[in-house]
Amino acid sequence: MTFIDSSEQFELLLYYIKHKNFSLAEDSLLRLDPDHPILPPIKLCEDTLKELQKGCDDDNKLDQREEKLKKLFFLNLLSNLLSLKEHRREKYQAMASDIENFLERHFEQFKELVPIEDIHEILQRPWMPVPVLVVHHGRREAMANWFFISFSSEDEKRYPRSFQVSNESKQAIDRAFKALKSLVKWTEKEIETPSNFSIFGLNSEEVKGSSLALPIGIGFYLLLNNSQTWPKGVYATGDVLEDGTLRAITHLEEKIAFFQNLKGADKAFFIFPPRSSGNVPLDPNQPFIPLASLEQACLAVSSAKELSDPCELTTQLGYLEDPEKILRNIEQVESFVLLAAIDNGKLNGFIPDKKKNLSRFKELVDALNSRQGVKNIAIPLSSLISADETRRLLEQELRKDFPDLFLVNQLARWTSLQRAVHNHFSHTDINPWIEIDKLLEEAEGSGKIEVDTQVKIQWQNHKVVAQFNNFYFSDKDELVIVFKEMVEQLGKDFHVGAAYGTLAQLHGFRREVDKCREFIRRGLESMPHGEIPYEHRRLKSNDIYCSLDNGEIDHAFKSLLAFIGEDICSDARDFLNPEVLQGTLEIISDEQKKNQPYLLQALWRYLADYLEQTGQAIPDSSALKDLIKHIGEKYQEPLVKVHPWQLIFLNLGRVAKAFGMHEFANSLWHSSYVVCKAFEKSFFTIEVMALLPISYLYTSGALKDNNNEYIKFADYVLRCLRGDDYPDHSFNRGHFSGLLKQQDTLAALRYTFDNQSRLFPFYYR
Amino acid sequence: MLTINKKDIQKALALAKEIRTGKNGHKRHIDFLRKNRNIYPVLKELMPQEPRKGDIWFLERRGNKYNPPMVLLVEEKREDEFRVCQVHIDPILSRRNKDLIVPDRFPRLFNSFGEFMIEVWNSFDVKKSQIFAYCGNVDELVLDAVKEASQNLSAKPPLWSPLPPRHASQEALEFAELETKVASAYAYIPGLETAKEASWFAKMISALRKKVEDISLPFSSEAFHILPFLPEPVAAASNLEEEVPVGFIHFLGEDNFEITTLSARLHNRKEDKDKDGILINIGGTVDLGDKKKLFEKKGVDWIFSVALVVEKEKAPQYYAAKVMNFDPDLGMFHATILVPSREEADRGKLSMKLLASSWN
Repeated sequence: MTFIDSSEQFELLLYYIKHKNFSLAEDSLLRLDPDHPILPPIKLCEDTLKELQKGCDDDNKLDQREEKLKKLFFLNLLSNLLSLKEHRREKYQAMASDIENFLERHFEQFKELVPIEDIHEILQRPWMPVPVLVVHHGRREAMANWFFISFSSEDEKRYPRSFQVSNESKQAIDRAFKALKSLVKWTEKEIETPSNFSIFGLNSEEVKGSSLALPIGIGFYLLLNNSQTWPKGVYATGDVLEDGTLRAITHLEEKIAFFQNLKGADKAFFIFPPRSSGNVPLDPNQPFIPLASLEQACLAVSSAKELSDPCELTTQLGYLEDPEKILRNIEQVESFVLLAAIDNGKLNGFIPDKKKNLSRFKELVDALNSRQGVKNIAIPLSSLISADETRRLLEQELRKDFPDLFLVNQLARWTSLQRAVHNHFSHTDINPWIEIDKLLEEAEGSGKIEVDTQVKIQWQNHKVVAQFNNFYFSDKDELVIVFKEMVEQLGKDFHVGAAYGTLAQLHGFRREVDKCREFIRRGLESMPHGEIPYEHRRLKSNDIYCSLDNGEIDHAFKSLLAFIGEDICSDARDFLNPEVLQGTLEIISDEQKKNQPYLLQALWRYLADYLEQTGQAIPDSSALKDLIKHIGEKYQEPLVKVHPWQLIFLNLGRVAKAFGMHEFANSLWHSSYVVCKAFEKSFFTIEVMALLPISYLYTSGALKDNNNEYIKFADYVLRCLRGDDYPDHSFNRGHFSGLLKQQDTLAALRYTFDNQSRLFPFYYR
Repeated sequence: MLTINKKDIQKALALAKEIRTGKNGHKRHIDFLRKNRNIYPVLKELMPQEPRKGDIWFLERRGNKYNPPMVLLVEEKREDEFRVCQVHIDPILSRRNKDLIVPDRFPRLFNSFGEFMIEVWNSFDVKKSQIFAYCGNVDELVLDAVKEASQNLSAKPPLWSPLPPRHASQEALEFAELETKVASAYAYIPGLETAKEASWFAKMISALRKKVEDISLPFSSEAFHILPFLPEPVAAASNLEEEVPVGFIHFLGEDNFEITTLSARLHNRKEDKDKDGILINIGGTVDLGDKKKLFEKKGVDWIFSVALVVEKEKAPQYYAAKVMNFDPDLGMFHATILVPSREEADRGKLSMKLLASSWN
C-alpha cells in the first residue's frame, strides 16, 4: 500500500515511534510494502514485533520499547536497501533512493547499530542477509532473526557498538570465520581469504548460544562466491568448529517446529548437525537434511537455487558417497557435488598411474567429453589432470618400446578435450596442451604410436574452432586443408557430423552460403538418424545465420523452425502474436538447460533481422510489448554472464527497439555489454563483441557524453585490437583493419554499427 | 431579582478576590467547615466514597497563584475525568445568561447558608485525582438546569432560580475575568502542561467566549470543536487516503482572528481494543501551506486538537483525543481517541482543529 511516497512514510513512522504511538508505528512498519518480493526481513517483522511487545508491555518500559522499535525500523530499512541495491527495476530503484536519503538524514541516530561509520560505505560493499533461528530464554518457540554480514579490512570494527549478541555467540561466529579458510579453495576464482568481517543484526533481544555459527558460516561462503542473496526458505542451525566440523546444539525441537510451520515457498530445507536431533522425531516427508560438515552445508545452500526439489539435494549429496556414481551419472551431477568430490580426493582413483586405473581413466575422459560445454562441470573436471602430469604420463609411454595404445589414445582425447573446453571458456593457458599435441603428432608421424581417427579428428576439429575464436576464417589455412582431407576420408559417424558442422561454420563465417549448406547436408547424411536429435538440429542452426547474413529471410524462418524442432507457426508474422511467441519460449524451456541459450540466440537474432530487413509494419500491441519487457526482465534477473547471453541481449534489444521501446532496448544493450565485460582479460573473443552493444547504444543516442564507461571500454577493446594491450599474436587483427583505420572511438563505433555483419559474421552476432 | 448595592458589590468582589487569591482565602473556607461543628457529623455522614456527578467538591491545590475553587461535577467524561463548573458562594457577582443562581431552598452547600451561584459559562475538565474535599451536592433538578443552560445560555432559567441583574456590573465582569484565570490554573488540558501555555489558552478561550455569547464554551480544547464558524466534522470510519478538513484559527488580538480551513491527510488509522472501549489511532500530515511560516516565528503559541463527535439526541458527544501531538516542522500529527463502543467508533465524525496565537 504505497499511496504516499515512501520517504514521507518513513518520516511519519519515525515520528510515531518518537511519540510512542506504537500502535501506528507498528501498523506503518507492517504496511511499508507488503508485496515486496525479495524482502524476508519485512515479512518476518510481524513476529519480531510480537516478540518485542512481549518484553515491553509494561508502562515503565515504554522508552525501551521506543528504542527497540526504532532500531528495528532502521535496520529493516537498511536491510531492504541492501537487498534492493541489486535490483534494476525502476520501482525498487526509487524506493532504494528514498531509503538511502532517509537513512542518511537520520544516520546519527542509528550509527551505533551498525559497525560502520558512514552510510555510503555500508552501501558500497556487498552484504549477505542470513536468517538465524533463535529461541529466547523462557519461551518454547523459535523465530528467525536476520543478520547481515560482509567482509571488511583488518582494522575495521567487527560488531556495532550496540550489538545484542553474547560472547559465546561471538566466539562461535569467529570459529565460523576461521573455518571459512578451508572453503576458500573451492571457489572457482582465485580469491584471497578475507581478513576480517563486519556484522549487524535485526534481533530484538540478545542472541545467545553458538548455533548461529552454521548459518553465518554458510553466509560467509555465499558472500565469497558472490551470491546475491540467501536462498528463500533455507534454514540452518548448528555450531561450527574451526576445522569445519559441525557440532550439535540444543533447542533443535523448537527450531524444527518453526520450520514445519512454514508454508509453501517459505520452506525449502533445513540443515542441522546430525547428532543434534537426538530424540527429536523427524517427519520423513519434510526436507530435513542432517549434515556433518560446513562444506557440505555450504554446497547444499549454494545449490538451493538450482534445485527445484529439495529431495534432489539428497540425491545429489548421495552421489558423494560413491565416486563411481559421480562419473556414471555425470549428466545429472550438479557442480557443487563434483567440486566437493574433487576436493575430497574422491576422483583420484580415476587418474592413471603406473598401469593402474587405466579403464577407469576412460570413464573420466568420457565424462569430460559428455559435459565439455557445461562450464562449472567441465572446468573442474578438466583441471583434474594437469598438462604437466599428462605430458609426464605420455612421455613415460613414449619411452617404452611398445607404448600402451589404449592409454595413449585416452591421453590424446584428454588433450583434445582440453582444447574444446578452452574454446568454450578460455579459462587457462592453452600452450602446454599445444605442446602435448605436437608431441603426439610427432610420435604418430614417426610411426611410434597410432592415434584413433576419431580422436584425431576431434583434436583437429577443436583446433579449427580455436581459429574461429581468433577471428581467422580462412579456408586456405593448412590446418583447415588437413582437416578437410581427414573428414573426406572418414566414414559416417557422429564425430564426422560434428566435423562437418565445423566446416559448415567455416563457410558460414566466410558468407559462402552454398558451401555452408553443402556441409550441413553432408553432416546430416553422415549422422545416423534419430539418435542424437539435438545434434541434428544444432547442425541445421548454421543455416539460420547463414541465410540471415545472406538476406534470405524466408529460408532462415524454415531453418529456425527446424532448429526449434516444432512447426510452431506457418508464417514469420505469427511470431508477432504473443501467444505464439510465448508458446515458442515454452518449447525452448523444455529443452535441456545447456541447449536453451543457443535456441534463444537463434530466435531473437531471427526476429530482430526479420523486423529490420522486411520493414514489417510493427503491430502496436501492448500485450506483445509487455511480453518482451517481461522476458527481458526475466533474463536480466539474475544476469547470466556466459556466452551467448551477450548476443541474446543484443538481439532482444534490437527487437525492443523495433517496437519503439527505446529505453528498454538501451537497458538490454547495457546487459549485453555487462556480459561481454565479464570476460575482461579472460576471453578476448567475447570482449571484442562488446563493441556491438556499445555501438547500438551510441547510435541510439544513449551515450550522452564521451567520457562514460562504455566509451572507455570501447577504447580499451580498440587498444587491444591494435595490439597495445593484448599481446596474443594468434588473434587475427587483420579482420578488424577497417575498424582500426577510424579516426576516433566514436567513428569506430559508427563503423562497427554500419559494418556489423562483416565484423561479426554468422553466429558472432 | 437581586437588589444591587454598589457597596455590597465592591465588598463581594474584594471577598471573592481574597477567597481566590488571598493567603487566607482557602483557609477561610476550610475553617468555616470546621467551625460548624453542628454540621460536621452530618457532613461526615453524607460524604460519598467516590465523587459523583451532582457533587460539589473543593479541588486540590495546584500552584501558588490561585486558591482551589469549589466545583460542581456536571458530567463524568471518562472513568477518571469530570466536566465541572466553578461555584461561587456569592451570587451578587452573577451575570444574566451566564450564571445560574441556586436559591437558599436548596441548603446543600456546607460552607454557606444562603444562595450560591454556578458559573455555567465557565466549565472545564478535571482529573479525579484533582478532587480534594467534599462540600455538598445539588438536586437533580439543579443539575439538569445546568446542563440545559450550557447548551443554550440565552434560554430562560427555571422559575425557582433568581435572575441575575439585567446589566452586569463592572465588578461582575472583573470577577468573570478572575474566574477564567482560576479555571486556567485548574483545568486539565492534555498538551498544555506549563502555566505559560495555560495562560495564552485562557486568553484565547475568553476571547472566544465573548464571540459566541449563546454557547457555553468549556475551558478545554473541546471548545474548538463546538465553535460554530469552523468546518463541520467528517465521517471518520472511511477516510483513510482522503483529505480531512482542519479548522484553523489564528488570533492576532482579542477581537481579531483569522479563520481558514487547512487540509490533512490520514495515512494511518488503526483501532485497538482496550478495557474501556476502542482506541482509535490516527496519524498523518497536515498541509500547512503558507501558514507554515507562522509556526516558524518566535512567540507564536498554538494548540492542535482532535476529537470524535457523535451526534446524540440532545447534544453531540465529544470524545477528545487522549493523546495527541502535532509537529508543525514536519507537518505530522497523531492522536489516540478512546470511545466506549464499537457503534460510536463507527458513527463518530472526526473533527480536527488547529489554533495559533500571535496575540501578545
